[in-house]
Amino acid sequence: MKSKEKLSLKGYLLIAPAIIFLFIFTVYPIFYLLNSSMRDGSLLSKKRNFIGFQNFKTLFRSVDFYITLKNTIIYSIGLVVILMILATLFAVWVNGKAQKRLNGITLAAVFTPHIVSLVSISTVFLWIMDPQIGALNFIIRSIGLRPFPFLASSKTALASLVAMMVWKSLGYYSLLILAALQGVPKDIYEAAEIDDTPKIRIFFRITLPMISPTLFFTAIVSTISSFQVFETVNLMTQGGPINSTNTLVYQIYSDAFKYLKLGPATAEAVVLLGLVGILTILYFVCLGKKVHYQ
Amino acid sequence: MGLKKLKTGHLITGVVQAVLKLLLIFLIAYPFIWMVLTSFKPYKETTIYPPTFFPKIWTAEGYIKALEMLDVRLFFRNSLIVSFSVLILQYIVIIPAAYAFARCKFRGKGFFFGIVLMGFMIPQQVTFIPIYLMFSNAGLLQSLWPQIIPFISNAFGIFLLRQYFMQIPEEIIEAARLDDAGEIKIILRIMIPMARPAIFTIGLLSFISSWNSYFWPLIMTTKNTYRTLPIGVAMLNSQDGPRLWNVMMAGNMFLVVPILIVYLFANKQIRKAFAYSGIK
Repeated sequence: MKSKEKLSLKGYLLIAPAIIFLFIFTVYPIFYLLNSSMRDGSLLSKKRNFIGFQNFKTLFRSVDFYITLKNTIIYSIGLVVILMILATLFAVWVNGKAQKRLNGITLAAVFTPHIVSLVSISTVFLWIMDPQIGALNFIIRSIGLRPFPFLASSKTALASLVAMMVWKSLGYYSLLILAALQGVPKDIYEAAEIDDTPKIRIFFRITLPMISPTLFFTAIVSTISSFQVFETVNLMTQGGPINSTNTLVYQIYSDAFKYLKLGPATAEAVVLLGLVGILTILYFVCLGKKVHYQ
Repeated sequence: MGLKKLKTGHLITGVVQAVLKLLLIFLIAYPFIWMVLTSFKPYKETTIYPPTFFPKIWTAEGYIKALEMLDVRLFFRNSLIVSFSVLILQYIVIIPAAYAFARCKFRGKGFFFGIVLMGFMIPQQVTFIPIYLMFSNAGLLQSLWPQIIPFISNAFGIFLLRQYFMQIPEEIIEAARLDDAGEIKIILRIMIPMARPAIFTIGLLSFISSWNSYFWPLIMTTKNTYRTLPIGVAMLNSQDGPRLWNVMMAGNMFLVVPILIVYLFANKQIRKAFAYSGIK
């Protein structure tokens, strides 16, 4: 009995540093956000009065905030859907038996952009996607097409950011899907091969159902991380042209640090927390079901 | 005859596939090649249309200008200090915690592990305002600490290490306990050596993410003295006046080349590490 108590005290001592830091940098900030989102005043004011849900009311009455939300959601869904499809195709392709060496090299190359700083990638793409002298428009013009405005037009800016991120993240998501593909039991494929089943049918009947849990969970996690898009917006478009690339985190950042509007900024952070929270709950509920049924 | 036809068909699809793969590699490599080549062009050559692929005149002008405009040594040093401090300090905090979650019995374990999961799921893009204000009130903004302390309690690291520690056979620990080994000794002599791959994985991921980090140092610094390399390089992207493409690309080289060298030597380990990071 005594030794058991000793063991339990040891447990608390061992987790204490980690838990204290997590309280300071995760738990406390959430309560702070909830409290601050219901107060007026600026980043510099000493005393801020309680105003209830006023900040949220103003937020949801503003057209700009809807545009920001819409941009964030379109960006995230667009990016995740394209990435999931392309990464699945690519992973199946390099998972083939032929050309093992070349497959390895291709995968290593395609993964590279994922570990490179977004600062560098954003500035290189600013140059490549420059409407007048950029390399992409040089190619587009030389095959006789009209130059593409990329980041300079409100119609194409958000899509250009998505395209760049597809280039950056394809390798990472392929890696995750490849791991799932390699977990599919080999004898299932062997049975299909004996039956001479066409490859496309094997993909839709065997491969896709077998990796669909991984695809689902990967899609949720990548949607959560796409909601946080900030770096590319700040470095490449500053939310423009005409608000077409203004996203939630960029707006939180601008409201807090450019306009010092602490109340609205924290209210927006609470909205982001809500979105992340919904997806996280969905994730864990489905994870629980999956574990249950298997 | 039929067999021969089948063989040539195989050969053709093989060649087509190989060409497509090489094309994809080129598509991925192209922006990097463009970065390197542009960094060696004189400014004038970057403004002409059609753009040149290889520089007509090779020059170090971009690098000289970048070094004039930025204190690269200072930014580089700050980046190294931040990345390595996070790397080392987090081990001291997360290894004991992961051990306790995997191996010790105590009340409220589920609740505390819930807090770890919360730290794991809630992004810093949500919590940065309160954390900024905390450091501001504590008078710590004029230091590198705001870029280090929030990352020490790496929730993902605790999670991954706990999984590893749980797989280590109970008998080994029991035997050590019979030898009167304390918890610290068990951690140092048994747990750490047996979980070496996980510890290495956590280190790699943490180093790469702090080296590349832009959002966090942007918010937590007001003076160049405490800024890291990504912020410095981003400052070359002037928002007023013409963009000096060759200087910007030269600046990028300082940021990208170190990480590419690391990737060249440890590409398998790095990809393995990132494959783990997908297990959320």
